[in-house]
Amino acid sequence: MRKYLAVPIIVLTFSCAPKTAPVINTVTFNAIIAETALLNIQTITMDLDKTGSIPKVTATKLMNNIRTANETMKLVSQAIKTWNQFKDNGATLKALLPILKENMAAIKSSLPPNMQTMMAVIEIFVNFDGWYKETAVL
Amino acid sequence: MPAVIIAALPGILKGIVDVVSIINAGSQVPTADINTLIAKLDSLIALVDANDAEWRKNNPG
Repeated sequence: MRKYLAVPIIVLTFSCAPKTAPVINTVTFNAIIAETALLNIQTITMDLDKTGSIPKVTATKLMNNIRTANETMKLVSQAIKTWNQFKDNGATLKALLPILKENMAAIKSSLPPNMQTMMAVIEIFVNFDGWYKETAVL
Repeated sequence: MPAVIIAALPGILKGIVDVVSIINAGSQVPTADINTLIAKLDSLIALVDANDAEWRKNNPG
């Protein structure tokens, strides 16, 4: 079933994004996708916590990890702004990507079994490898 | 299919559609494009922050 969900999302994403978009637009687009995923995981965690579907300790760990990732995303946003404004070499952004990848891995490792499938879907379009390739040309 | 996935899909798809709309709008107004994308990113970050604050208010300690 997972592949049926992923294919339209990927097709929609890549068919609509401008093919000639500047690198900074593509990188920012990737950041938005990652942040959207973060928001969804957070919302679901809060809902499952409210209904008692996940243990409080699991919800707390997840919320802490999401908060950490969000703090990294704030730095990513700042790095994108600096890059856009001063046309620097994007070194700060490049340095932040591995940290963000670790943050996402921490979230994944703290997910309860009933949320693991969701993460598998999200990972399909939070594409860190593609993100590295985009920034590599800076 | 797990209920969690079904619950997540509307949000995920809405997020994708929002982003695509912004990209399309931005491609018509190139000068506003990157700033619009950055604004969208910041609004999402603020949403996560707000949710986090609400959760911590309800779960002190």
